[in-house]
Amino acid sequence: MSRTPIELEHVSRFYGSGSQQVRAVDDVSFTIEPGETLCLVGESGCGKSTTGRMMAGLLEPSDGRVLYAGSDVSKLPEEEKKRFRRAVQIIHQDPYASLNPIRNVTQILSAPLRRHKLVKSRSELRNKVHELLETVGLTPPEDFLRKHPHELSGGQRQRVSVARALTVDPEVIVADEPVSMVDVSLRIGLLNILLKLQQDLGVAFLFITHDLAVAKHFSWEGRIGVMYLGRMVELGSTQRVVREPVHPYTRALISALPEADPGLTRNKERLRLRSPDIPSLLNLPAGCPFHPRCPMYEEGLCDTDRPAEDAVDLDGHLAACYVAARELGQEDRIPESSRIAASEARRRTA
Amino acid sequence: MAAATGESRYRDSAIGRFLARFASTLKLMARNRVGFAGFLLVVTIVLFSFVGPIFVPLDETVRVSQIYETPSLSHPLGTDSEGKDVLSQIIHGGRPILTIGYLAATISTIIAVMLGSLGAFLGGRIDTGFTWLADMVLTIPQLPLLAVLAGILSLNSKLAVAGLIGALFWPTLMRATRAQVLSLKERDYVESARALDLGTPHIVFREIAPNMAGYIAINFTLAVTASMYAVVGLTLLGLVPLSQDNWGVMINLAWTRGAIFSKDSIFYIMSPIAAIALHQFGLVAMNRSLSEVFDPRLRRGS
Amino acid sequence: MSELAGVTQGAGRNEVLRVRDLEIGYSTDRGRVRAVRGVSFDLEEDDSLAFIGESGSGKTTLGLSLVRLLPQSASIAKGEIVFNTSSGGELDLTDVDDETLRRFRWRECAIVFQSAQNALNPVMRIRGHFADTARDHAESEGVLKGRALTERATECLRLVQLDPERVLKAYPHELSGGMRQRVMIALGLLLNPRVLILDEPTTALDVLTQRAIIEVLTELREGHRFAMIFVSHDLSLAAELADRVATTYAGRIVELGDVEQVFYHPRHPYTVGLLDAVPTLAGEHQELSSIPGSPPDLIDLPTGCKFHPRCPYATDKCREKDPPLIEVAPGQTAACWHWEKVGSDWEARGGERHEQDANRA
Repeated sequence: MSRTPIELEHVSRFYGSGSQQVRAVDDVSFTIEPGETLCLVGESGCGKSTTGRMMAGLLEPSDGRVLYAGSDVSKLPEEEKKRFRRAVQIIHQDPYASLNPIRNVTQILSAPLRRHKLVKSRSELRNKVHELLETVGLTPPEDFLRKHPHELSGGQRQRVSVARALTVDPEVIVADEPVSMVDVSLRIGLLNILLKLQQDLGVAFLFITHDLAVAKHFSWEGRIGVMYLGRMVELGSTQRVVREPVHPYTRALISALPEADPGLTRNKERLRLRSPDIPSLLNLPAGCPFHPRCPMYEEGLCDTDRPAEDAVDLDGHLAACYVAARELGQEDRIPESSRIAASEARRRTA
Repeated sequence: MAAATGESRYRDSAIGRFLARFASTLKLMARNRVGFAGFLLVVTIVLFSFVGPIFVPLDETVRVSQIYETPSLSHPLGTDSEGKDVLSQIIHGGRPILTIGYLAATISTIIAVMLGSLGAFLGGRIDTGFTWLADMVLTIPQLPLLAVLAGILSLNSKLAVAGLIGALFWPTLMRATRAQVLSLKERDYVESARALDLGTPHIVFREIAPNMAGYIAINFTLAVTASMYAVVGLTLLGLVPLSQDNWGVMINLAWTRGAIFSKDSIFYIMSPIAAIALHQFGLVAMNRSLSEVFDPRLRRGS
Repeated sequence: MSELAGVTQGAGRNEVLRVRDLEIGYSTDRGRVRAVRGVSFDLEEDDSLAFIGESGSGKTTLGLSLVRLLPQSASIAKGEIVFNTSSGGELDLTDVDDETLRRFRWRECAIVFQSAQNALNPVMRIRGHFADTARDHAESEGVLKGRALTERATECLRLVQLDPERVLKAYPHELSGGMRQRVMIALGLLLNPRVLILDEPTTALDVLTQRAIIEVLTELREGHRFAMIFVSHDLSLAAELADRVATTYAGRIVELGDVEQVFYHPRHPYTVGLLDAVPTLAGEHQELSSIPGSPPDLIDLPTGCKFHPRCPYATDKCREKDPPLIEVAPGQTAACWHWEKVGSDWEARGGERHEQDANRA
């Protein structure tokens, strides 16, 4: 099965129109290379789930394109479109809602296998179901074949979800907060299964989470993208984003996260935000959406133009912040209008 | 649960599985005592009406000297205005009413579920169209419309009557179904089914609809009661030219033949009414057991 | 058998709550759920005690029982919950009438529920919530109302860093999740309780909002003389706020000690398992692992030590006898027959990890 990159090109998703328009996702671009893990991190309402669904073809972008092997997905012929839809699968957060309560495990796994004629006989079907259950660590498989979802624990249900996603041999799995509703002591087991799929089958992951520590662990060799109010504010390799964050929001998140280590967490330096209020998506401020709360805010520079995703570009590590751009010697990436507004503001306060 | 012995080979056969499902369904229904009593009541009445006539002949003898007699050993429910035995009439009189009732309910349920599910799932103009249709049918007063149409159309078969009733009773269930589907459509497992490209018919009829099965079943029983009342009403108004005596006709005759003015005829009047009422009560009571049957979370063991 | 070994505290401070051998169960169709199976602990005036556990630990039942807010199907089978009231008397909550309970709640001990539980009435303004609370728990001398109520409510809202003017006249839906959670903390503080119980105070909240709540709670602890019990599955919350930590499993405390003892020198395999399962943001990539098996079924518990099916140290003794809390260090207890081995294995490898990260901070 060939593995192709999937690209989001200036993708947006709006709801409503005019003054009542909510931009759940606003001009986001990135690519998932075959077999890589990319974590989308952010707080609730930042648009990460919506982005994931657009990548999976479950939501249509209001603007921009989703590219599969370089071609616009919405313009693909039916045959190719089918291949794309199967290439990207999704795993949900809530183990209690992700499986149809009236079907048992065998039925849940057989449906896609039968529908897409991926097996040719009943015995082949049985073998495939066994194989899938073993891949996700539900052994012995016989114990699970006839169980209904309510007879399984949360962690087991998530595993069935993963098995279901694997039935169609996907290239990318969009995992939307797959462990947040699972017991802490069981999370790593589930994450390890996902990592094994990446290693053994070359499946790429778009891993959506609000928990930076989980993102760091899962995507250690991969990348992290930080989203805020519908925009991508930082994107880069996990190790660099976590150790040398550029965007003030990322730095605020990292500093705010409590750690399971009293000495560490009680002595950690906290970044103070200017205001506790989160702006509503209906009423976004001009310029950078984070500026009302940002400790690095500079009048003129931050409230004139909206920073582009690559306002800072450190060898592939991107951040949408003009203050950082200036500090890192990338002033030429700041648009004229912002630079002028900034110097005027400086003159006024001088 | 590895299948090992010859005994389980039998259990695995189609008949075996069906019987096992049937037995476990009965057990589930038995969990609610009122519900199970209702279920037994309905089964009894249906058996009486469909199997009874084979064993009990309809009393056609006119006995002028025995008009409106009170119950006795030879006539447990008394006699009617022509001296004919009431009990045999009750036994024979159920079949047409019940047939039309269940048939009409089936027709309206099928229409409602199909239109409601497809409309909700596909959305857009199809949904608007179906909703508009439902609203139209709903706003017209149903019994008068039924009466007028019955007068215009020639209703010479049970199917025709059932069809007429069914065609007018579907909107309420359709809207309820639609609301359910709109909600179920957002469930995570439906989204997964879409991602897996399982296809609209599969998703609507094999993922969403079965989750509404309990809801549909309960509404079906209510539709049966409503349809039965409708057909009795039509018969009462003399709009259904069914030749046999049935419970509705009996009530009609009680009215037209002056039975309501005579004290002794109480059994003649009350028998068909009681038969209908008991059946409805049984259905309504049975609803309590239906929720046990249809919710897999309430099932214990497999 | 009473589990007093190692439970006693440092001398000289006022004890506010004493729980001994508490057992609570629920009756369900499937059988009796043994949610709490013999819990004993003490709470001092300024103490901050965290109960950390996952599903099936019984921690929420425990929290609710301390204010006697358990559902109808629950019953306290045995044990005592003895409260030292502000008037100096002792109150055994397992043996108390409704009227006394009503006056006890909120004045002596208040509970703050999870924000996601929608504990606020959507059609009542916040000011109304304060009035209701004051009225429900009034003493015979009179209700806190009118101007006195407004003043007190304003004070409480300021304590949780909310703007009283804006919040008092707002409806719950006009406030964000974090603000609602803070309102609930303020409501808890209204009548100046000696003990505040918090049930999952930061779950379902965003990272930055969580930080605000933790800050509020930290400040409250520093400035005010009340004890805090919080119940959570989040180890990091305990690391932030707790003086002492109790890890709970299958309805019992399996380890109890100072926060540093539990995090840096755990002696129970479950505690070790939890610590190994939680990723930290600081530091290198860690070798993390899950605890094998599934959470316990509180109706059908295994014999002996309830953790043994998932425990790498399990032996026959563990399968037969349920260990009591054994003193493993001054002020620290663990319910494990093999705590010494657990300890030496931990010190040999995991000990360095946390010290290392602490140095990085």
